[in-house]
Amino acid sequence: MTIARGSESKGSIRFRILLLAYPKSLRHRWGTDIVRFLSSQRQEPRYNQGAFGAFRFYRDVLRDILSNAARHKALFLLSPIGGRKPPRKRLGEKPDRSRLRAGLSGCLIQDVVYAKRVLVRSPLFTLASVATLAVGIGANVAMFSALDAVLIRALPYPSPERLVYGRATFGSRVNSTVSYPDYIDFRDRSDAFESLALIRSGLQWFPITRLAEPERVSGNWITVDFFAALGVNPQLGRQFTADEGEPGAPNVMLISHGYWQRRFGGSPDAVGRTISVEGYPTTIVGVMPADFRFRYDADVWLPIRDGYMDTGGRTSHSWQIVGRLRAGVSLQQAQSQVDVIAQQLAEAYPESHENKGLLLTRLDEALVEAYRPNLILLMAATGLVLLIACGNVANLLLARGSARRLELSARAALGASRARLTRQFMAESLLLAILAGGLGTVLALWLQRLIILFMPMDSLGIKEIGMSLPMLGFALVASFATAIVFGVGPALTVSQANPAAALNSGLRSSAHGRATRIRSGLVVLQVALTVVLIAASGLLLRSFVRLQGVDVGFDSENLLTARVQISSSEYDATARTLFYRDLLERIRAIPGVEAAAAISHIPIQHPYMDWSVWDPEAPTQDPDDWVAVYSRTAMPGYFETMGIPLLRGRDHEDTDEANPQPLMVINESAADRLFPDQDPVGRLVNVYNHVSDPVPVQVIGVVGDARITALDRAPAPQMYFNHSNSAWSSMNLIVRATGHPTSLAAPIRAAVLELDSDVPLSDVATMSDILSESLGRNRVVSITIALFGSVALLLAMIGLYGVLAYYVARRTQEIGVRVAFGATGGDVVRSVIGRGLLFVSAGLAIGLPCSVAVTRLLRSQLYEVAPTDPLTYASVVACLLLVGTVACLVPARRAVRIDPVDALRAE
Amino acid sequence: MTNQDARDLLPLTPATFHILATIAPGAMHGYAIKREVEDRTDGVVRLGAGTLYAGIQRMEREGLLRESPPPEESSQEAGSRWRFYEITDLGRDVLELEVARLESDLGRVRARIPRTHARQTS
Repeated sequence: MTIARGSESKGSIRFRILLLAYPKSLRHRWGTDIVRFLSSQRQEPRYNQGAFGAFRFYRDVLRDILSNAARHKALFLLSPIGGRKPPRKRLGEKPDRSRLRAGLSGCLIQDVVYAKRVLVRSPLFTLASVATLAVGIGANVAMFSALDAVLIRALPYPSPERLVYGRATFGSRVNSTVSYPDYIDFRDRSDAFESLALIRSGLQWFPITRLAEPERVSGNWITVDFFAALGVNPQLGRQFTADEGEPGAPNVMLISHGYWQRRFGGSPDAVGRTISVEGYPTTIVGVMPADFRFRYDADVWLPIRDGYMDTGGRTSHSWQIVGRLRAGVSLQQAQSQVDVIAQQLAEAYPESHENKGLLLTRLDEALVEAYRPNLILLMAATGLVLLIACGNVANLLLARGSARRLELSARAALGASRARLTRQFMAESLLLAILAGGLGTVLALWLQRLIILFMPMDSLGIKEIGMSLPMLGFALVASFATAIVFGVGPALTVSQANPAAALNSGLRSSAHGRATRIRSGLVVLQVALTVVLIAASGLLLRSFVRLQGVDVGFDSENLLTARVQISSSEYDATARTLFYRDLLERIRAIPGVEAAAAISHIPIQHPYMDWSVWDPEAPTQDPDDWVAVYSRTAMPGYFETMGIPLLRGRDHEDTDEANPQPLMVINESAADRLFPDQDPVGRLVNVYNHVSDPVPVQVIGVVGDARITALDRAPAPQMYFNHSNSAWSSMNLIVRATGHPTSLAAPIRAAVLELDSDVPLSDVATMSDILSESLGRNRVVSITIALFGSVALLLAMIGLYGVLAYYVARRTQEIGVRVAFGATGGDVVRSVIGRGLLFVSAGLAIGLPCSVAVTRLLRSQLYEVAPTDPLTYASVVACLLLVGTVACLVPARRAVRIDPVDALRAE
Repeated sequence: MTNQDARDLLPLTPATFHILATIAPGAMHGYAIKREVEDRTDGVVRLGAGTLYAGIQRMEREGLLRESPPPEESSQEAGSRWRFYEITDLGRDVLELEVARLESDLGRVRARIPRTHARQTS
């Protein structure tokens, strides 16, 4: 058979690499032949069909390699143990150890294949180890991705190190916002900045009309140079120009990519279109890039112009300063300049600006400041969890090592060197770690979402972290490191030439004793950590259950809510009341509507704020005696619609419009505070909103308490004004349906559009959903901690098992002696369980005080459950004792099974 | 090499059997053996590089074959340095014994299960 010369060199590198997968003994002698063999095989017709043929080729080669590798192992493992006859030697020939050893040295693939078989043989161990490690690795990968996104990645702007963030300081207190006039002064009087810009703190809402459908969009007020300061250019159109920030300039706006897609379908002629914002025609001059975001999810940006809007006085701090340092100017230099200006302001306005300054920090640091310590702490904690998981698995490996004694002796007798065996065990550890790493990475994706819920890092634009390359890299490194950490110790220990003897005698050395103490200590620590987690989760769950059953004070079933905003410029006060009266009439006529009302602030969803109220006839006029009462504006019929009982007096009526005296309805709590043991109906009270002068208002009725701020807070004092007295342009509709509330959304929207086609209906939600969502955070927290608690419990159980199994394995001889001397099975079991419970008690002793301290921090999250709730703690102790006992069962059973004769003989 | 030694090596693995059967008529190199076995068994027995050379290694150890100098015709070819293997006497004995064993087994099976009688090919 002739082989063409050319085919030998072509691609032979590829085959030389393949050759490495073959056993060393074959490579050594037949290396060249195999390469040529493969090369010729590759050219056979069945492999000559392009990609599919190539795939077939490599598949067949791989199959050949693996079957060969397994056979290699199987041969020398099985031969002395019966069945197959050993390989025949020629007469007179000595058994050639070197040959056998050459056959044993094999290759890495052999090790991995064998490792796979070993792991499959003991599924419970494999499952427990992989699960344990996966949790540890997964948590670390998730935390790393958060760390990477928040702390490591730079801001996506050019030269981010020159971006600064300014905050007002009052003495030592740092405020995160500044006032507009102060900003003007800092901007005009310093030259350290290339640009100093401003953005409104918090998201604003703007009604948009003159489009197909009216709507409300989110947006921010910014100075015209804001985006230029950041260094971001619109993807379409242009930035604001300097004179667009002057009073009297035409109305312009920039829109976000998302809004551009949603509203204009991504069409380029969106730029230049004029739409109506808050009733004012505004021209779109540009579209911001797709991934751009600064602290808030804004759809539109509008330029700040003096006189066009209320920028607030010198004491109104609603703005954030973002600046870019001039090239060559350091942060310290800029800070010194700013300090001088602050001093000037203090001299100019001594009452308000004494001790007031401006603190400049790097923007990237300022944004993450709140999260950095938490993230680092969490990273340390998850690292600790992984270490504990490694300790767990190491314990399991050690316990198993003694169970594999027979196999190890056989292999050692066949000439397997210690290095060889260690390598084999490391392969097992590596396989475990890689499986755990894969599972852990999948777990990490889910854990990421939980991290975001705990630390809403939305100011950095991190909503969905998702998979990233650094994350995968980290997962790989973590897996390898983990394998080494938990694998090396047991591998070296177990690969001793005579493991039986080593386990029983030689390891009474102090080094080993220390190692055992470390392992035992780790388990105790693990139990303690579990105690803390279980205690916390128990408390949180009890609290959550209590919260769910709280009485809100109104009937939340079948209620639909929606927000209506009419133009404040088109409707004057009287017109607004007429509009809402008309609207409610129309809605009440819709079939399926039982009742309808309008309120300025929905309970729980819009807590709003409180004003000061006092009785003008009260003996003292001390501001400290003023009562803080939450104010609301409602159309008549609100209480009936909500199912809030009227206790005294009456509700507002349409005819009250004519009454020049402002009237209000108060709730029980307010009545008790203002007029204890008296009838409040008919009484006058002074209401002071801290902006204009106090106004005397007459009480016409008292209603039952309803929770309006938060579910876990007691009902606050409330007062309800008639819309005719306090004509809000934006009101929330409350509609009670006879059937399913959401089916009313469309007819209600139609009713609104009938009255005014420019009025948007937004935020449509049922009351039950609102209440449920307000508990959302509590729910997630409770469930997550409960989950971690259960996982920790499982890990603790596995850890206890590992340590006890190893303990029993080490003490085989001793137990054998005891049994030989008359100890009963019961005695043996008792001693094992006793040791196990010793660990649990030690863990409890450390964990219980720790959890009392830690749960104290949870006080704010707990509703009517004391952090030292005895029922919860009793359950925790019972739970751990139970788990500890269960963990002892298998090792105890194994201990009982020890045959004293075998045990003594094993020496 | 007595028959006693040869019988100790039975039964042969399929790879061993086919390799021996292939080199019995004359020495061959590895890849040629593979192709021959594939052709002879209509593609049912496919020897991969590992199986083949591991088998050769084992058979050499057992004394069933040995390396031989390449036959005259192919020594002229530049660059073809395939190793050739020839069967030993022991190998021949073993092969014959195996064939006899297989025939005997086949005969007994056919006697018990009539449907396995040798098919007549026209």
